[in-house]
Amino acid sequence: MLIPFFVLGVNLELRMEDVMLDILKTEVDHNYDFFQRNITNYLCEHAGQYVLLKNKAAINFYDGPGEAYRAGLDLYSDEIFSIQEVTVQPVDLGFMSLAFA
Amino acid sequence: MPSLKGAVSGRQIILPIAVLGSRNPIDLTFIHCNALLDTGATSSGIGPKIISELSLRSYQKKPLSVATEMRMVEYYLFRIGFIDSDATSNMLPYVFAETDGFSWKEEKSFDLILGMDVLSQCDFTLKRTGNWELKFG
Repeated sequence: MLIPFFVLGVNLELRMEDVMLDILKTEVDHNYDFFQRNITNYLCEHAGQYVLLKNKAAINFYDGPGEAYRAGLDLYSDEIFSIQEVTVQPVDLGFMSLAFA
Repeated sequence: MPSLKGAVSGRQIILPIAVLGSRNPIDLTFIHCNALLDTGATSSGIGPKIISELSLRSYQKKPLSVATEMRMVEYYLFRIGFIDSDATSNMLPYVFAETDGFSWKEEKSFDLILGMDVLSQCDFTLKRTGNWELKFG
C-alpha cells in the first residue's frame, strides 16, 4: 500500500513544478508587455542595464543579469518575477537564425 | 595565460566547456558539454539537455531576428566555464560572469552556442591548418 502513496507524492510534486512554471511564464509575459510600453522612459538613464520586474512594475535596475536575478530571488520567496535587458536591439542568432525561421 | 586548443571539425568549431547554474555564485558545481563557437551570434544560447540537467527556469524573453522575421524566445541565465587544455583533470574551470542566453527546443549535435558576448572577452586565433586557440583569464 505504500507504493501508490509514494507514486502519488512524486506526481503531485511534478504537477506543482508545472504549475509554478506556468505562473512564472505568465508573470514574464505580463511584465514584458509592461516593459515594452515603458522602455522609452528607461532608455535615457538605464540603457544596457537590467530591470527587475514584478506585477507589471519596475522594481530596480542592475548592471548585469546575475545581479538582477539574485535580487529577485532575495526579494520574492515565491521566485515569481522577471528581468529584462534595457535595449531595443534584437538578438541575432547567427547559426541558429535558420533553425528558428 | 590559460587556453583551450583544438582543431576545426567538419567546418565547425566545437569546444568542450563547463556550464554552471547562476543561483549561487559561489557554487562551482558544473557539467561538461560541447559548445559551437558562432561569431554570427550576438548572444550565447543553451539547449534543452542542459536546461533540464541544471533545472533552469526562464525569467526573461527577448525579440530575436531570424532569417525571415522577428520572434520571441525564452532566455535563461547560466554561467560558462573554460578548463585549460593543459590542466590536470581535477582543475576547476575559469568561470565567466552570468550569461543570459537564448534557448531552442530540439536536440542538436552541440549543447550550447558560444556567441560574441563571451568570445569578445577572450583572444581567439584560427590558423589555416584548422588549429584554433582560445585564450582566457
